[in-house]
Amino acid sequence: MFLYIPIIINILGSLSSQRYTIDLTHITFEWYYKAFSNKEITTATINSLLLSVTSAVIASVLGFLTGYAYMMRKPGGFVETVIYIPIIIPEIIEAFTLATFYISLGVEMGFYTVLIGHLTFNIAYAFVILRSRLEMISRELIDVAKSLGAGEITVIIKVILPISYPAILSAALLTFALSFDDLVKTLFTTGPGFKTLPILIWSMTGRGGISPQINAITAVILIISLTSSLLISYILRRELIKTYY
Amino acid sequence: MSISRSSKDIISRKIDSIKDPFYIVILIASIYMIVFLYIPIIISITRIFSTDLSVMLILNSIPILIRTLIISAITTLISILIALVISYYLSFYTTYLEKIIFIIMITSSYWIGSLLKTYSLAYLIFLLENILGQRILYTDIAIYIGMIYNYSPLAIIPIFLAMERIDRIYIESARCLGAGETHIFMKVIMPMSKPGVLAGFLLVFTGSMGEIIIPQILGGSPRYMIGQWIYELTFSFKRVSDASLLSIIYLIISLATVISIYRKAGREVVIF
Repeated sequence: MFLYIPIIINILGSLSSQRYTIDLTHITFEWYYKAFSNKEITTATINSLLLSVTSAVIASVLGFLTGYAYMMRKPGGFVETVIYIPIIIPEIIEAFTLATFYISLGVEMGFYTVLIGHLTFNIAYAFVILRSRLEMISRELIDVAKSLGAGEITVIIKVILPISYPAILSAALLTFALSFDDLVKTLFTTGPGFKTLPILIWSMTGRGGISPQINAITAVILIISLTSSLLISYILRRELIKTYY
Repeated sequence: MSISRSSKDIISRKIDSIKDPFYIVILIASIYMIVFLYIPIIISITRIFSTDLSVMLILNSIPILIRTLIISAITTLISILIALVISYYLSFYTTYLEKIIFIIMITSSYWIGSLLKTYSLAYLIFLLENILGQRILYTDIAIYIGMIYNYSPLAIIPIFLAMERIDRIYIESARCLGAGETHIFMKVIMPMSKPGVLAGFLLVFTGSMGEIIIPQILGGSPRYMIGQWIYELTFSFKRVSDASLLSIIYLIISLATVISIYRKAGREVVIF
């Protein structure tokens, strides 16, 4: 799959000791070592993780609740469109308009401004994933549980959650990956104090161009992202095959 | 007791339904979107009419706009061509298992995010430059390569899915009636995969217009495409109103493309 060739070469490059060619005879981890003893880089990594995890958790929970509420009450197309729009809209429009919003309000841009921006599209994606899964749950199950005396919350905990936890997990992983890799939205909504890993890479390539250190960082991110997306494919394998057919 | 429902009944029922926790949740989600998505958009639109709009700046931005449109158009064209070829081969000449692996790999590669892919590409080009002695990075070609590399999966997926949906009966009957492979492709497969082609066109075209990452990393200068320029205007020059105008123009172009395709297509454009 030739799409992956540059990525593989990137990883290889991060292991080699030369700068201008890939020299696999001297495999070295010095770039990784250099990269991760750098304070800037470790802070950025922690920032990224913090942002992505928070974003994923909030978005999954909200997406789940909204999806469940949607399944129970079926409000209709308009609400759907309202929540779906972030998926259709080009990210830069979302990012820019949000930035203008912040600037007009005179708000200082930092972690929370970025988080809000991320949540906008994360909730949309979580909602999409969870809603279709929740709609497949037959209403009878809920009615039966209710007639046996379960209250609303018990129904959610004992019936809905066990059935839908793969979808919830994959929504969480997806939103995590989206937030972790995100550059455009973050670029527009972040301030000088809060840098995520993609933003760091962005400014590094702006300054010095290519360097194996960046390769090392990107290799790490790649591994994280690839694992999470493969995990999602694994979790959702049954749904994948169903929709594919 | 009157027979007809009194308005008091209807109102009290509506009020009850507002207290319904489910509606409240949906309300919360919608309000969130409205506050952080729609209101900002409206604010940007109103910024257009503010007084510190610089006509000179806008006029100077037009070449960038045109360049962006050209780059997007060419990218879309080539991506669709690549997608047609690859989807055709994959849809009709591979096994079921291979197809599943393919789908997983393509969607995974999409979730990596364009920064990593573009950087890896830049690194690859960097290495190639030293081997071939040719300057490729920071030229137009590099940007095109980067764009096509990033956006062809976005074209391949809908076209592939559309081709998969074609009932193989048609192919078989065409073969029975004596059609050759090329003929089958032109007269049966192509028309039937049109929804996918249109979806791919929309996705790639509107998406690639707003790119910042690819032109910046592969092109070097911050003035290739309109996305970059909007960013520059907002953060380096603090000219938010001009940037608003440009981004609204981008939005209008995107919406116009979507609407005109939907009009012409008539039938559903299939994305998923």
